Amino acid sequence: MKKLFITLALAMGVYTAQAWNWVYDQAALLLAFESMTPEAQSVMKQYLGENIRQQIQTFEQARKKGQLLDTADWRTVTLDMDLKAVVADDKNAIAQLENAVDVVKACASKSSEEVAFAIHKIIELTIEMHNVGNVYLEEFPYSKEDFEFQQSMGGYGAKEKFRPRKWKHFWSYGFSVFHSSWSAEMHVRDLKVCHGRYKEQYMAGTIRDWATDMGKLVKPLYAWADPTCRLSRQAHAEEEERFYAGVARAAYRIAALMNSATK
Amino acid sequence: MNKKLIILLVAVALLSVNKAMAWGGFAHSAITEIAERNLTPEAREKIHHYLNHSLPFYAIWMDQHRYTDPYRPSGKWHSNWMDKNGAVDMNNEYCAAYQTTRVWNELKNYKKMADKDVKLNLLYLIHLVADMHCPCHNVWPKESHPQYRYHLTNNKGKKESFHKFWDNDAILYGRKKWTVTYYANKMATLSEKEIKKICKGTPYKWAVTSLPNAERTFELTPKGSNVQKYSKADRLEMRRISDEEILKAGYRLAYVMNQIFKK
Repeated sequence: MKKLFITLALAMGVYTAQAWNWVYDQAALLLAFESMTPEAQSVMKQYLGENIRQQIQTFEQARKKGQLLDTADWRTVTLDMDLKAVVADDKNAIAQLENAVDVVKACASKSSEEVAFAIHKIIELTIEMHNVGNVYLEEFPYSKEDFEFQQSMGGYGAKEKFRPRKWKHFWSYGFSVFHSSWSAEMHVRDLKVCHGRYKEQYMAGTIRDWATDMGKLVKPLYAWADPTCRLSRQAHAEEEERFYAGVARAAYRIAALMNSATK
Repeated sequence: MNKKLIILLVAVALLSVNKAMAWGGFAHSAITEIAERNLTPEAREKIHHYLNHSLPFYAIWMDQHRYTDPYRPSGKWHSNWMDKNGAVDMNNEYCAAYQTTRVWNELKNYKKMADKDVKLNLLYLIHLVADMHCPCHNVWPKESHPQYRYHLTNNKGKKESFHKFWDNDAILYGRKKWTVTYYANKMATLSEKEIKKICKGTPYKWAVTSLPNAERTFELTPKGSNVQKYSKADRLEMRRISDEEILKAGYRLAYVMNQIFKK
């Protein structure tokens, strides 16, 4: 049994180490940093480190140690029937982000650890709330639970083979397969080509408005909430645009939050 | 099914999914990255306008859509076909060199074309120029050459795909952790004079000059040979062949694009 657990641990270890979705987080942070005011960049450097690359590494290490998030609920946003954000308590990304911005605004009266943690939250939770799998719609109660659909898998052969795929896993890992050898810089360049012109539009508004914006992006996808629904190879490729739209929004909105917190 | 077996199967499944993700389209991404870096500012601006992305984003678009209507006919354009005399067959409409020439000619009139047609032809060109340089994308008559669909083996006696070996493994020997950015930084360092020499000629001539490398693949990796027992010298030669073709394809793709959009 011990050997089996070692095998499993190794498998999980390799899987985590090569979790390509991390490259999208890196890209979002790099693009966010580029889009920040000099004041916001300066505050980030002061609390997280001089070098943006080191900041990313520090952030990644803290994340791997589980130092960033106490609860999975912090990553999520819930929207009512009108796609308005539901913020009943602090167990959601919106409340946590609003709190983090307040902490950074009051940085002079806070400890370095508190401010650094608040900046980490701004980065991670802004990314998480733009992950389709973390946007819950009250109209679709099952959106909070995971569900399965059928996805075409198994390469580019003539006959598509469909296998069950978990919704949340798909939105975290389902697109790295297309660009598995890309660096974060390549994603940053591409995000700027396809979304750079919407930068001001994405950065405008409040965190609650952004949750509504994500709700609009996500709502049509709940037609997939059917174990017999099939996502073809072509449809999978086309959905990458929606995934990228989330990454770009997250990047520019991290910058917007840091800019407003350090104004 | 007993509990131990389930754990082991989960571990194996995780590893296999990971592997499938890690090998997707390195060469195609590298070729398009080299091309992207060598575009003139004018060509880059126009291409980004039509594609709404950089070139690498669409590196494998033709693979993703080769069995989908209305693109199904293009599924047969991915290789260079030889006639009975062993020459690149420019009368064969399936031949990649023929299609590259045709699409290039069509795009010379891009100003008179609808945006969606310009985009579609660019998507073809991105993939065709790459595929016509792939050492295992050359098909000779059965009478004179082995067919590239034959299999290699591994230490366990299991079949390994000749095609997959040359598409991926040959390039990545000793480079498992390389990103495409790192590859392009390290490899695409030719002088202007060298690039000019590479880009001289036509798709037909480019296909002809790549044939010796293609023929060499049959000698280096004969039918049934064990992929885990190739000598280091042979592995390095396989990698050199792949690098040579990737560089030629990357510079030539940029050249074609720059020619099309110079006006």
